[in-house]
Amino acid sequence: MRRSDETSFRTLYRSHTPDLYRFVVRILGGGDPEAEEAVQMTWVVAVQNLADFRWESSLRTWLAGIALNACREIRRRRIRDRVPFGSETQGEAGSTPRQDGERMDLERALESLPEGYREVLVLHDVEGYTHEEIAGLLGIDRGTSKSQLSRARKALRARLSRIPGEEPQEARPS
Amino acid sequence: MIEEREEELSEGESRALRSLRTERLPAPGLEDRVVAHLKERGLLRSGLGRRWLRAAAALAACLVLFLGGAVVGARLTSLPPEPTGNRFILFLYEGSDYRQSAPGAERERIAEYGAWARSLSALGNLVTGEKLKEGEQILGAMAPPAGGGEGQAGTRPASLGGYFVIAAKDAGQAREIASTCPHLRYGGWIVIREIDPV
Repeated sequence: MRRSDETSFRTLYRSHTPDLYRFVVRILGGGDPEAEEAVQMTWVVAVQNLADFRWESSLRTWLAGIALNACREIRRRRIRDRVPFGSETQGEAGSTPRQDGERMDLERALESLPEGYREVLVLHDVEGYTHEEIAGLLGIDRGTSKSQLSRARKALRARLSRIPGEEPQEARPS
Repeated sequence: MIEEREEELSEGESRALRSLRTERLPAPGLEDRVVAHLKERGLLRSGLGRRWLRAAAALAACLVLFLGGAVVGARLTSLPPEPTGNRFILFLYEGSDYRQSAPGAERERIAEYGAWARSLSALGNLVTGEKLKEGEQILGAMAPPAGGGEGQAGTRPASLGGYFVIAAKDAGQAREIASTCPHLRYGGWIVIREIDPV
């Protein structure tokens, strides 16, 4: 019986975790240990609340909402513990060496965005969520999602135009 | 009220951002750690476990159906949580593009469909599901004209391989659920019809 439960869970886990993991990496802009912690937190909450899930959104969207909250909790802890934002393992252990400098710049620029901008931009431009879905996930209205996205894109372009390869990271808003 | 104009992305920018979707995979050991953590917290044994045990019973029924290829009629309606919402039937067709499981690999295919059914059941969205016996019989007077009807025109008529009855809020949700069915991955296609409650 326990084995059956585990099998069921592993089926769900395997079908959703790759997307989930990639998503939390982008949202956290940090290292793998934190992303893995966010994935674990997400599954714990998801399993606890599975009975409440009613397909009002897709399972992917529902999990993304839980993952966002997990990421926020981790970020709050970062601030509390005064760990420099995204500095632990970014681009180090666990990540594949990158040959594409442009992509690396893009990742760095993305990670340097203020949290609100990064969340909307990752959700919309990377993950492909609609403004309606983003509004539901972030608890904002559709217009706010659109305007935040606009500003986020501008901010991203500004950062990309300022990053000449190995330029030190700028100070990030807390 | 003036809505701020959306800052459009160029095609290159859009492509670059979307390319970030395929970058990272979690460490292989994460799955086991998450499972261990859930077990430690009793989440795979207690509340969820009871529900999923019933779901597993439903799955077992499905497996029997898929394995034996016989219409056994295992009903899943009593499984908690009680399915609510409108009822839709998903007809699983196996057209000429459908990739049958390799000889000896039927159990894996069955397990995959069963796991999908089980996950629906755990969420209260599965009412029942059955595999139809092979060798369909169409009564002459009711058969669609050659190449017409719901089959694929000009090709071998698709064979109806089975069906699931699901509970969904509306047609959109039914489509969402159907889109996750493994049948599609094997080139099968699914016709969704809402059940008229009259």
